[in-house]
Amino acid sequence: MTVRIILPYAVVAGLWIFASDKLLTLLDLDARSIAMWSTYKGLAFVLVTTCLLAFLLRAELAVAMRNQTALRESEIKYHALFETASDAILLMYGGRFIDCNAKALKVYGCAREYLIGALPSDFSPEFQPDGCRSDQKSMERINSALTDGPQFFEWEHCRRDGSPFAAEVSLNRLDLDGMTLLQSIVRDVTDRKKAEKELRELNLRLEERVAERTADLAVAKDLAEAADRVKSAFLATMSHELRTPLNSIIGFTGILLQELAGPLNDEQRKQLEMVRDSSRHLLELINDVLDISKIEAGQLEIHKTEFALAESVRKVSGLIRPLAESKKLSLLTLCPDNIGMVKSDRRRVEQIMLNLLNNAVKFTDKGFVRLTAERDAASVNISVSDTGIGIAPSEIHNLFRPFKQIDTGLARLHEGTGLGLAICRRLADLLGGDINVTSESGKGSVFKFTLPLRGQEKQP
Amino acid sequence: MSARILLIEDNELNRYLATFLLEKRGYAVACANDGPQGITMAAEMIPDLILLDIQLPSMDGYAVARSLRAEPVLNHVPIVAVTSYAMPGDREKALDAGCNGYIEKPINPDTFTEEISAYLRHEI
Repeated sequence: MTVRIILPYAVVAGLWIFASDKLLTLLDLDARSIAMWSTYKGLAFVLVTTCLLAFLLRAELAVAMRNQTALRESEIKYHALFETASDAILLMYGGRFIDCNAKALKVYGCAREYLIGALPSDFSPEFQPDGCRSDQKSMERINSALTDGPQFFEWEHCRRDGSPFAAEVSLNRLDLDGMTLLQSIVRDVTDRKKAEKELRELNLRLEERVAERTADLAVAKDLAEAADRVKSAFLATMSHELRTPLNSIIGFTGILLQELAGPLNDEQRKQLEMVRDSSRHLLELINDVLDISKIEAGQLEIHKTEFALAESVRKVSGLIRPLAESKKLSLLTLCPDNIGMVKSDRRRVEQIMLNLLNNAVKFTDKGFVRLTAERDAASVNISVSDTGIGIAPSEIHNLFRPFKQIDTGLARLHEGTGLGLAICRRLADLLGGDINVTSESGKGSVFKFTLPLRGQEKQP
Repeated sequence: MSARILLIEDNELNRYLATFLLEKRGYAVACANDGPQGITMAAEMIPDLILLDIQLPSMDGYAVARSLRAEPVLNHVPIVAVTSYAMPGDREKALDAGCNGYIEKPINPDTFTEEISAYLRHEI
């Protein structure tokens, strides 16, 4: 500031003196005139330099004024920042608080005079949660902040009334005008800690409930499986018990029909044939129930052998032909002899084919029933198609479920156990294959049975 | 001389049925009601064939078959299990116990004697 005023003043004043003296010399005046002009010159000098000084001082004062205003504004701004901060901010010198903001008073629950001059350990319980003494530990933290750089840590504080609160503290070293201060920012995290604890407890409770529910489900599953085993065992025993009296019925009817016990008249023969047919149907039912309960109990054993598929196809079509002919249906089999050998359970494969053919003939009144066998790289595809009554789309999903035919009312028209397809599907599964159906009501059905060429059967 | 068949069967109706069919066919049939009686009778008469029910009181058919096979004099007599056991492995269990054949109940009256005669021919 001094330079900015003195330098322009010296230059202007010097030049003025030099220029006015030169001018006086050039005018070549007499002594009296010189004395007079010298007086004017002095007056002019005072006038000019006074104006110059006034101008310079004014300009300098304006700058100083502006600076002062800016400083005050800045101070107000930073003070406002300090005072309105949402965290408690404290300044420390020599380990004691020397200044703080309004929030700090609120956090520690006391008036300024109690806080200023106090140690952090005055506002802490005697021990921290880790068992360290608060006064020792706070001094360690302060020293670390002074020597090692900023510190950030959790701290158990207490208010003036002794009530505790959890805090997060950040300590930063400040060097101001040769003084080494510490800035401490303290955040009350009691609410957050509480929320975290609740969340942890909630999680724990949730896990406990999941575990409980899982255990309940395991028990329910065990009970269901046990009930299922009991059901299967019951069915198997029942089937066995039912076969014993049937032995007598079928046996004695046979003896009578063979006339081993004496000659029969036509009516007696007719009625005994009815008894025989009914008992055979009953036997089929019992066999089917036994089959399905064995499958469901996982007791059905698969015996795999290598066999010629074409021969099996001939065998089952031979069995079904009389039935087809009695209904005046064409029975077509398309199975090339070179279809070769298949490794599977021959009896079960034949059972499936026989069942599909039997169904096709049963539900077809005119037209044809056709069995086609084809082979690809890994499997044999056997399809049985007919021109029968077909299956309504709404009934297809029930088709492979046990006892469903009985519910449809068809049972009265078409005798059968309603178990055949359920057995076929399960047998196909056991053999590692599959059965599915496409059908159109009134136009006929196609059942496709896929059988792997070898191995890879599922375990029952 | 007609073949002599020993039938070990506890059910009276089944005994009557099988006896009737076999006698009509010309076989001589002797009956035992249970296993121990069957074993005693078999040792006395040395039949040409034994028809053995598996589900018998006190001593089951498998045990009876093993006892019969243990008798040297009965070693060559064919034993055919006739049973309404139709659980998996029954056939194998019967054959393992020493039976030569296995007929499932209910028997087919039209073919029963044929099946029996096959075992007799096989043996003779």
